Amino acid sequence: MSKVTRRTLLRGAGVALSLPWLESISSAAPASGAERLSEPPLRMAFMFMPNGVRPELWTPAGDGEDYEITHHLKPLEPFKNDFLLLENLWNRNSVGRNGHWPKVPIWLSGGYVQRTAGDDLDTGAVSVDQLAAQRIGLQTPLPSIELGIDAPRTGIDTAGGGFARLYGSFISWRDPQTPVPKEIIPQLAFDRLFRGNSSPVISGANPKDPAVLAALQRDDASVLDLVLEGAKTLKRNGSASDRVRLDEYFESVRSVEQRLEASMRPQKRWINEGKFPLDRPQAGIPQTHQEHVRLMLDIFILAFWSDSTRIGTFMFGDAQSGKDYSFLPGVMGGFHGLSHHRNDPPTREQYGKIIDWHMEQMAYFLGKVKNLDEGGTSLLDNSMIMFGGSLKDGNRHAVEDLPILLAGRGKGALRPGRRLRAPERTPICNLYLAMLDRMGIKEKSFGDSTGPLRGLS
Amino acid sequence: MRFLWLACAPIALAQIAPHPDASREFSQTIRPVLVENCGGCHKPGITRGPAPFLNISKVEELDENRRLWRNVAAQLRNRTMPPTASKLTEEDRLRVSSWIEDRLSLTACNVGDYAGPAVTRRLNRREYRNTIRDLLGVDLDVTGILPADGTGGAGFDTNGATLFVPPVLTERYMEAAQQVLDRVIVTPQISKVYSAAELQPAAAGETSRAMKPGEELSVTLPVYVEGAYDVVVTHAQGEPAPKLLLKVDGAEAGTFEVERRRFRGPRGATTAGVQVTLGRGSHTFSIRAGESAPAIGRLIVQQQPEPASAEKRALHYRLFGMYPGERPLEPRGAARQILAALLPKAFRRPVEASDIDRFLAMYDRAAQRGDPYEERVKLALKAVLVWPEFLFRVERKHKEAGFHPVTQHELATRLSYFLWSTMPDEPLLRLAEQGRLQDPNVLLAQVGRMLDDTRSRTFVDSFIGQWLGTQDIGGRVAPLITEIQSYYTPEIAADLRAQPILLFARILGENRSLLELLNADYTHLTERLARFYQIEDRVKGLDDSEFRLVQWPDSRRAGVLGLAGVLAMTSRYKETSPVLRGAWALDTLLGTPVPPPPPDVPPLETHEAAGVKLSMREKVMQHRADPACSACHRLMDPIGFGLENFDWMGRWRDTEADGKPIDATGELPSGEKFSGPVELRRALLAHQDAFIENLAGRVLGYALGRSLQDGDSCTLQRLVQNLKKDDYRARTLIREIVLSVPFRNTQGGVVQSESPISKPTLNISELNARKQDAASHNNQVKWDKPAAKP
Repeated sequence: MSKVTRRTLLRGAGVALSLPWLESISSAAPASGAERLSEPPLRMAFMFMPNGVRPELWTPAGDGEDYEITHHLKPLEPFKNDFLLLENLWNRNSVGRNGHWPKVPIWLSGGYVQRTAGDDLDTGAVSVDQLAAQRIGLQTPLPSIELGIDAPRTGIDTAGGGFARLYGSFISWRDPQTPVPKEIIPQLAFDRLFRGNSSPVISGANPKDPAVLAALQRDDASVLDLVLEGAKTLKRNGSASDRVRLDEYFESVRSVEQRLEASMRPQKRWINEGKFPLDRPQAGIPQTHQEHVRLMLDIFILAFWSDSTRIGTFMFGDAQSGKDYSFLPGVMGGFHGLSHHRNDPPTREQYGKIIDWHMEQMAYFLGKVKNLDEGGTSLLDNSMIMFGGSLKDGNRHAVEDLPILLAGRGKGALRPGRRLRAPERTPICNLYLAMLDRMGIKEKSFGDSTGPLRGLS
Repeated sequence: MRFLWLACAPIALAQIAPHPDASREFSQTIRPVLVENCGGCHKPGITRGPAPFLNISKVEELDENRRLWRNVAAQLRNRTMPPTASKLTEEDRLRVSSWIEDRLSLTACNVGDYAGPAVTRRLNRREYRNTIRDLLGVDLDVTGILPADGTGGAGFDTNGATLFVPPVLTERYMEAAQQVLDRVIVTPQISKVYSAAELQPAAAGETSRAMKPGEELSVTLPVYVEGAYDVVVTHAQGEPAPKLLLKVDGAEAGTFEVERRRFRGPRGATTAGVQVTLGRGSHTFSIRAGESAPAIGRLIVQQQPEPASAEKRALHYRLFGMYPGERPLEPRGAARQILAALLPKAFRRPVEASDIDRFLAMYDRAAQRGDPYEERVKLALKAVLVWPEFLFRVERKHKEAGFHPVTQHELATRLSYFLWSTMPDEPLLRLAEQGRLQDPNVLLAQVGRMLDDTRSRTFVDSFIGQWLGTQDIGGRVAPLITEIQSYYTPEIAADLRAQPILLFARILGENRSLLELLNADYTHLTERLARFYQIEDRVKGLDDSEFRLVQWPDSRRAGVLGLAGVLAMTSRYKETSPVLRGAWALDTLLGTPVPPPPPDVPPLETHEAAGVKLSMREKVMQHRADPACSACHRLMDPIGFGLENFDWMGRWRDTEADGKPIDATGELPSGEKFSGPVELRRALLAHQDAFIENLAGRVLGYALGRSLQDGDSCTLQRLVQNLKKDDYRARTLIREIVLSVPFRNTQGGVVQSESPISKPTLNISELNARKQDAASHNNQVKWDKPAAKP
């Protein structure tokens, strides 16, 4: 008896529409009404690294556009022509107060974080990825994807200025008060791409057809319909100040229901030929940090490659991550602890090695994305991948001239292979405004932007 | 009593009458400071404009504008006001904010109790897991399904304000509901046989069917339970077996040979075929002929036999009142009965016929489709498990102003989630139905019963772990690192997490004094933990299988301040931090939050002259020479100095790394001098009132699921007085909380959302001020206090 792997389950479990690329595997695909896009779409990713860098190993000497690869950037040398080194960008609202917590949630928004004791979190703004997801997210099965490594932290950092640690765990914010939880478990992240819910979808189904309405696949949607019908009664009885939370739930129900319905309808998708070499991950979190990061990066790429979404964020670690990097030769200790090296040379060296390791992961990521063909161009060519952090010098919590890279050609809207030195203290929101524009989202301004960042293309 | 007890002589809590000098102090030393530093924008004597707090000139008027003045104190303390350009000294900032807070505490009961708004919040992850366990008997590990909860306010995961409801949560609730129900309900296994004629495209009346080369035949079958299924095709005649390709929902699942023999029933027909794992839903099975054209008989889809465990059969019986496989004579009526029994427990309230009908509609949906009985019930229950009244605690709000007792069922729910983190059990629901739960004697009897029940351990675990911050030891705080793995292992980290929990469990279990949290001379040890503490020679009779209650060999370690977990958690990587330890003790134990550092503080290392190694104490002392720093550091540091004999992992040491003896002397601002942890503890115990008030406030915040507000001050003061009268016995605290006004009532009318104690609120002028702040900071050297250790 031939055993069918779990992966075949996902292929076979009626996921035809959310797995359009399977059509290339099986010649007679189910009658999927999905229309194909004629050219690959543009994708946008934001990848966050905590705890800063060693500035002297990051920023090249001199002023020219052409530059010598520095120590930290060394792992990315093979991709020198694929990314822009962006300089002098910053978030003015991240000045002072605490070194980590309030700087992270506004990295992608430029908002101002309220120093609350955890009640009524407020970052003052919506992050750029979520704004984009709200505008164009319904074009894909998932509006956006948020992946990471660390589970969110809890409690209040009383010694560090009284910020809720929760702030440091999210770069994606749906609204100023609400973070979008990131998925850290590989299997759940993978399934999210291909299942969305536990039921298989009905390919190309017409939701008006009574047979479709009654189908097993539509059970979840009808359960959610029922909840929404009951919403009115409950809202009448709920208390005024707390209605917000119930409303949030109904909104959440509505969005899932919409997504379920949308996934049963044809969507105009880009379909890549071939097969993506990634099996469904085991349950739980991989034993080593390296495996965990690699696996999540692979899933992140798969999300773009399968056109499950076009917008994503990834956190290599949360604010002030104390992850133990003793697995690296010559490193004995946690990331955050070592980042405050106080210019002690051996400690500083270990800190640098941890950053180098992150750059190697980015090299792995870019290499993979560059090698994925999308009918003549690569996935990297069709992406804008921003990488960096909310601190320059981790030792000093310096926030000016953030370490930022922008990889990819943005479907021709970016001209990589250069160093782009903006005027000092240019709002990083100028970059986001420019990226939104390339995604087809026209905004007059974003955060504290003073205009789209010039010189990208 | 905040802060001032350190700055001046302690004020007795019982002293509620306004201080005779208060009026003079206010007009001579408090208001003038505010007028000078805030009067530019908050003009004295003008009632309109931003936060007109200087409109008043008498201290009695302050008492009447509590909310406004609470805000003034919080803004000062949190350094959110006045803007940076202000000349307000750190000394004055602390003095004035503390004075206002003390004044507000003293006069709290002049305005009486406050009940707080009705609570509507979702169950947190722990509560969800426990509730599912008690409702359906399944222990579902939800950590892999539901995202972790945030905490806020008093710092607990019971706080409704931070229990967000992100869109992904709905998906996860659906998933969790399906998993739970699949584990409870035994659905008959699928074994479907299709004749060749039934395969699509249909053919007339044939028992066997000759396929053309490349022809494809298919059939669609509903699958209810995720699992492994065999697909087999039998053969009409005894011809050589050609290969067939099986596709499931259009995707290749494998090739297989057609069965050579005639079909003899599902059991015998599993020797060849393809095994596929299928999810819930309608699946289309297609077989495609290759080059040669086979004649086929039947197509069989059969679920892999997986007998339900005895446990699952028992759960099924508990829910259905019937064994798996048994069907009721009148299925819809039976389903109605199941819902009628389950809904009051699931929604924690009495239900009406219309409630049941709503979920029966889901039953009907499945019935019309021809689903088996068990699956119809399952679908209805799935809707129950994502229904807001299951996932949320919903309380009724009242339009009329004043207190409104919560309903009997709401009270049962508040009680059981407070002490058990789960749904009310049968006795509680019965008392609620009888309308007896608001009777104080009945209520107190239930509190006693619930505390004696093992389920109260979940309160002890989650309260202590979150309050002290020790739940993350070995993870996010005091992480396990390779360098010290010889003595700091995962087992040690787990033991360090358990120590404060066991301490509090004993205090609560035996109704001992809460002060033992500060001065208990006993602890719970394992053998390995004794080795970690390096006292294995002095404490005998231990093993690693369970904790033993022992006396500490000496008094250095008494109370939570002697526990290595707490001491390691408040250290930096490889060095102690008197500042962090002091700040932790002030905030966590005494409820005196320390303001964030001012924005322009230079880092510690710049004080360190090149080539000269300073001790931690010397570095910190130099730092304190700066007047901008000393206002707070003279509060924090001495406590930390007293703990310097504990190294960065909380182990005892007599000397610094360089061999110099440890100097563990210090002096509290209130004048008490001490040397070492024993004397420090004695000095802190002199401020036991502050400790008790803080602890009572934390438990109250945990119980109410919200941040305490100014209106709660009076309730809190009464709690503390009653506790004091009863020698600070732990159960008295729980009982008093349960009997308190806010626990048993909700505030009717328009409940103004008010800023919690010591939390800033935002208004337009402040927003503008902050923008100026941010701009003016640009030219300064930035340094933030590095917060926690790695």
